[in-house]
Amino acid sequence: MRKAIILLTVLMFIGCEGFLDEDIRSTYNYDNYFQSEEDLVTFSNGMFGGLIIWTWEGGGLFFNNYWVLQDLASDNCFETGSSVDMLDLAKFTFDENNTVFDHNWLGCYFLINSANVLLTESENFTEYTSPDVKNHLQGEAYFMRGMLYFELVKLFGEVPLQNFPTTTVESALLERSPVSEVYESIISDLEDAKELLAVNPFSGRVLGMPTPETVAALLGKVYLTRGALNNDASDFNTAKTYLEEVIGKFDLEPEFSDIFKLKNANIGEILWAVNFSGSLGEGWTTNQFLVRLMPTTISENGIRNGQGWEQPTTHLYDSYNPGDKRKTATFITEFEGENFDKPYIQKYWDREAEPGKQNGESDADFIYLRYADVLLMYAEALNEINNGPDVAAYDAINQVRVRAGIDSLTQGLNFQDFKDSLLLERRWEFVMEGHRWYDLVRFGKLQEAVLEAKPEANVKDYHILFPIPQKERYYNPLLSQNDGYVQ
Amino acid sequence: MKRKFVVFFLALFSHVLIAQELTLRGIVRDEVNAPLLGVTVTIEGTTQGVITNAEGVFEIQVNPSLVKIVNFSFVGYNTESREIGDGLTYFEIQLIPKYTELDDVVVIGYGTQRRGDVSTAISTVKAEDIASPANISLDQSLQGQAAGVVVSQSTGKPGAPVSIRIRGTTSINGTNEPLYVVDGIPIITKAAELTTGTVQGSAINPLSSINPMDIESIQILKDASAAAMYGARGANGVILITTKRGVAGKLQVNLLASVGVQILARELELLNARELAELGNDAVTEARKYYPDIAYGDNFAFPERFGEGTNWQDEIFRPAWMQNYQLSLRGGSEQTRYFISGNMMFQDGIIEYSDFNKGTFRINLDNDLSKNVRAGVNVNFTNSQSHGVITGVPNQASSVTAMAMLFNPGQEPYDDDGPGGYTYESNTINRIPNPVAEINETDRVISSNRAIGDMYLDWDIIPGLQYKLKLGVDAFLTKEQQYIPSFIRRGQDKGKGYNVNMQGNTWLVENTLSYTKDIDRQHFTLLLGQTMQKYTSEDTDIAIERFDDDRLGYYNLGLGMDKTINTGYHSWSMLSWIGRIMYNYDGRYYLTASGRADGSSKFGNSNKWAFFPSASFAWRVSGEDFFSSVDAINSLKIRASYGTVGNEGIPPGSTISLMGDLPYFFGEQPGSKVLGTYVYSLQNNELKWEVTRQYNTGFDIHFFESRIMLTSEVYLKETSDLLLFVPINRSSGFAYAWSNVGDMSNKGIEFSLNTVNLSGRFQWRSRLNFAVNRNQVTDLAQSTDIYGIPIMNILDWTKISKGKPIGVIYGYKTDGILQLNEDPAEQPFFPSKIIRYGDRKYVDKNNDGEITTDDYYELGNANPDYSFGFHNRFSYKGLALEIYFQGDMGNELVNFNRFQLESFDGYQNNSKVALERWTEENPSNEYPRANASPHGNFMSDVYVEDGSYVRLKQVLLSYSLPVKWYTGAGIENIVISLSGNNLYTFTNYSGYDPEVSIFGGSVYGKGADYGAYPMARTVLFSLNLTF
Repeated sequence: MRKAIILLTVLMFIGCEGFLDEDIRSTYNYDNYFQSEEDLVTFSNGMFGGLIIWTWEGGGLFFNNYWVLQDLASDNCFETGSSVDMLDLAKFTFDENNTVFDHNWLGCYFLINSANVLLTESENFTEYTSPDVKNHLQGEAYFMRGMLYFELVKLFGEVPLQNFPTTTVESALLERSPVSEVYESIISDLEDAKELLAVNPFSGRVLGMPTPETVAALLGKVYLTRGALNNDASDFNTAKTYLEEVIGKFDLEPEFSDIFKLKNANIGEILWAVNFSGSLGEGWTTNQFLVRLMPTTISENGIRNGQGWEQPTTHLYDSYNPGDKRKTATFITEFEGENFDKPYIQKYWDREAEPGKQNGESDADFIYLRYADVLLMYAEALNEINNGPDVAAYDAINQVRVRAGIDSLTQGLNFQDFKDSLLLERRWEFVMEGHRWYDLVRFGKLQEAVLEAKPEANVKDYHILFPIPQKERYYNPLLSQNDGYVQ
Repeated sequence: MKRKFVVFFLALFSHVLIAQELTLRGIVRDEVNAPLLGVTVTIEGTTQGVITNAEGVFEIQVNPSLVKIVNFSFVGYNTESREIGDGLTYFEIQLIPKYTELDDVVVIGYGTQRRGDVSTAISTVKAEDIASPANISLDQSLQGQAAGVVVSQSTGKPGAPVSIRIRGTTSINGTNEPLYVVDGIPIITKAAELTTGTVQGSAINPLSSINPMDIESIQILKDASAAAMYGARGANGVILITTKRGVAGKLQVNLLASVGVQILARELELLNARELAELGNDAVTEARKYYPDIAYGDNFAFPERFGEGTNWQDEIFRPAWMQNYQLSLRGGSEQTRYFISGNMMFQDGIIEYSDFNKGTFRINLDNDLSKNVRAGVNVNFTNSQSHGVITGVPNQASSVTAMAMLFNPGQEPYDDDGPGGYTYESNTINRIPNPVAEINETDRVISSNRAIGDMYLDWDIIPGLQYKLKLGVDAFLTKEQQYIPSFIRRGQDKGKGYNVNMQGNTWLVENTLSYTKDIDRQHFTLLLGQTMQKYTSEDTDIAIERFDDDRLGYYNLGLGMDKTINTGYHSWSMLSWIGRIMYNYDGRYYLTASGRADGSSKFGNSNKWAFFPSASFAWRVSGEDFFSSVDAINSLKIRASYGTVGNEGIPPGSTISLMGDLPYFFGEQPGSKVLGTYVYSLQNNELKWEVTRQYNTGFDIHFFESRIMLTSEVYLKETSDLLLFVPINRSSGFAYAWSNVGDMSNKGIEFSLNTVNLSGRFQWRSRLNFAVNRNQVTDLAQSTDIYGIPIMNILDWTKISKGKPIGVIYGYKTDGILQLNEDPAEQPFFPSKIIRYGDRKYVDKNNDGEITTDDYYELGNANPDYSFGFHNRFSYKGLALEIYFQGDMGNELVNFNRFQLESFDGYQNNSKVALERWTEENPSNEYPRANASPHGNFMSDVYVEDGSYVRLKQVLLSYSLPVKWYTGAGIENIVISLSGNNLYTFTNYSGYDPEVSIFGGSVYGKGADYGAYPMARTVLFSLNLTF
């Protein structure tokens, strides 16, 4: 007995070595994760994944708040749901506590950190099968970072510029950088991306991957935006140069409504889209187009769980020319004989491929850049450079108009009238595609246009920038606030 | 060995002892000469014993050569002893009540002490208080039993965990619960370690596995010196539970059966169908003054055609039955003693389709292997099952109580044309799911099988030197299943099923060596020990969506189209070394010093170990010669202690940078899915133990032969390196990070007064507990405040700031309503909004013409000014009445329900106060106008209410049936009782119940009430038989 007990006791003490080590078996540890080329590719896939899903909040950047914000805080749409945040956006009674700004902020920064991590780890890794792999991966990261900072600078103006991965909480507490510095970073990133994305060695990651043309078009947009911000002619010239790399390389989709058909995803007119999937995914991998925009009343035989929260203003609906195919493709006013009292937006509903979708979960993608946008941007740049439209400018805008089934613009317009026509054309073309508020700000027409469509809106001159989210200012006291909002 | 087993089995089933020669008989009476039932008659030096019957008579057979002294003892009375000699075989004994507890044995960490010798702050709860038939669960047994121990139920859901705080909020990371040690084994009490939490709405209280009727005593270790023995996890106090042991002698059988009913304590007063329709139309009319585009809703057209409508609260609440059955057997021989018990409990919840059922079985065996070696085993099996409904989440799309509060009374629950025969959702702008459909059709269950057991071996190596080996296991298998059919709103038209299995265990091995030595009047005890503990669990989680056919529910998840399958593994381990010296001189001067070193796997390599020392001193003044002339005071002891304890309540892997996964899709539609990864958490190797230093001083004083006993303590707790999962700036790419965020202090006074007011035929005893605690955050590592969880989109209603306590509530002060004769342009308002006639006015604290968070006031504090419990017991012959009041005074609560119940926008139902809203004809200065275009939610004094309450917590009336009614039936005692819990609450709080808070004990949301499961009034009838 005595011996047994002594033996038992001794055994207890022997088992101590390594007893207190952490035993993590079902989750990766960052320290030993990047061991092969595939791990870097997987990490980049996760970086794209953050565009559609984000762990702490559910849907990713382009899930809903990004594009809803653009058309609600403008003359395009009004809100019928119960969310006070959305109602405030439509009425321009929003403040710095609005969760939509918060969601846009964290949606961008979550991915910026992923891009920073990818750049660092892809630089540290050495056993590539081919230099093309490293280049393309880095190109993906630069594209993502450049694109996201572009979104941030348009929404919020000065933002913290962090081009290194976060390792400690303190290292990420930064002040807001001046707008010019942010733009320099964006341009540098996108120029790198354009080079590095030239060769795509991944056969399974093609459709949905940005290409050098995508980046050229985006650079065009960046310079156009900065040019308008600073009234800088050289930026308009650079914009024109980049856009010319894309002009002629793509064709407009012959029928407007076909752009959004599932069978045309990622091809044709589309330069780059964010890929959602309702049928393959689990949980939040679908977008909210059909849930938010389609009416409830067609739930029986059409889209189920449609809520019809955002609807077009009468001003928008009535602004189209007669015969404009975009009007019939974008809006729906009746279904199976029943008329709605106000029109809804059906642009993203592919009736053939998804006639009735459970829960409104559609496979439809969010189109970030398409050729019609390139043409209209080109015309805008030309108009600015020459202080009036030239032949090429008319040609560009008319391609879009002809495709839409309306008459070409008659010649002889002056700078301002042509510019107004461009703004109007963009409005008709890009409903609910994440453009309107940006366009109104770039064209300098925000207050004027909003009050025309919504006379009771509380729109102010400082609404050309949205407020830095108050939550973020609580956590990072170094952040100042934009003018007009509570400091 | 084999022989011992044979003896053991014989002893179990027979009452017959070994060969005897002499029969002793006698009768025992009390101080008024009434026969005493249940007096323990033992033979000194043996384990033999019997109990007196209802006549007070006993008979016992002994070997006269072995026996010299007979002892007669009974709880609450002085023990009497008699010598056997000169042929004396018949005893007539009279026992005198004692009121002192000085000789009671108190279980301390790793040992026991005589209560009179205890130098630390320990509260004891005795079996008869725990095992009252009115208590169904262990936590109920603890309420009001000890000063400074606050048991708060944050939900009325059957089987749900409660929150226990000892001496305030010590920690801020959500692990404020004390450590529970059952027969020396720390058991799993965090719900997160037993379930994955996938299935919302059901919860099984980890403490429900312990049956209150199995408990002999509970010791609550309150100060650091007492809790230091559990070092690492003693920061929030330690609750030591000792279960009943077998007793040699005649088999005792105890049977308890209880049946009762629970009813909702109060209903809210809500608008009826017509009133809501009128409100909805008014809201639109009012809003159209400023936004002409707003349309009237069809749902409110022609309000005159509506009447009362549906009372949705009645639809979901119901009176609910509960039953509890208990059987225990206790007996044994000199060598082997056993305690066996079984329990079955069935409790329906007051919300339909919510219930909690469990069965437990326990067997405790003690065996004397030889003169110097004792061994034993305790095993407890529990099977429990809880069907739940979701309540108390800050999202009315899921909580059924919120759904019932807000659903349009103009609609019916059932609709032949609706999916599944139900009305699908409310026809208001805020589309609320149908709570009746949700409750009836959603299936949500957690089942758990759990075994808690331990084995011990005690070996007296040489006199005074004892070795103890203890092995313990707490093993569980939990199943969580949920099915939401496609035709109810939450199923989102596709049906969702979940099936999660989690199994795991925690095991413990403990070696201790103790040495006791007496030299003259000095008494030493030295203890050395080592403990190893490890927890592992694995889970398999299946979530399936898109079912075309709901009929088989979660039993056949293969029918669903979208499958998500995950598995997980979790583990942590701890290693500890303990040393303690206890010294006393002549029972007058006591000194204890201890040290414990703990290592935990959860911290990085440089921070794995921490050391926790403690010391205590006590002086029994009443033992001094100069004190012997003080007659009134029969005992006075002064104590002081200091100790440190730790807290490592973070999940495993918190110091490591973990990765998560996200999918993406490339290719033509629908695309091919690819796997993606991302960085989930930040690394923090610097993370270290949270440490609490506690200073305690107190005294125990007994007057008049312990008829009045007063214990009082004063304490100071300083916690440093508080562990918290703190929100950080998202520009980092992360939302939260674990960090040691700062320091906090708690100081307070407790006292506990026990008095015997009347003794004699009619007895009356009282117990009053009173505690004051003041909490303050003394330092924060970051320069900014830490903000709470946003509720209703309000982020800054509470925050953790330096220099203030946890639980301060911030908001605007209101200043009436803007009337028609006032100028809107003169009124400061939110800069992005425009004030209109009939809107609330707010106080512009800093006079800058704008209402911003700079105008916030401190509106209240969720911590009570003081807490108390007052217990009285009256008894006369066989009849006894116990009345127990409990209360918290001086705390404020935020009633978040009122944001929606007083929205006045027609988006959902409102409470009756909507009838008093401002209109041009009724220019109220308290309630604003109806408005279908609302401004949003702002925290103000409107929503902050006084949460003080005094509750009649328990009334118990019991009657011990007269012996002559059942003599000869072999029954020793029959007691019938009627009890009521939560019978009445005196409070000004307007919500369902002032004790509820949706965040349980979380410090982020302290003091918030949002759609919680209300508490019930319970009435129980019980029958208790002892054989």
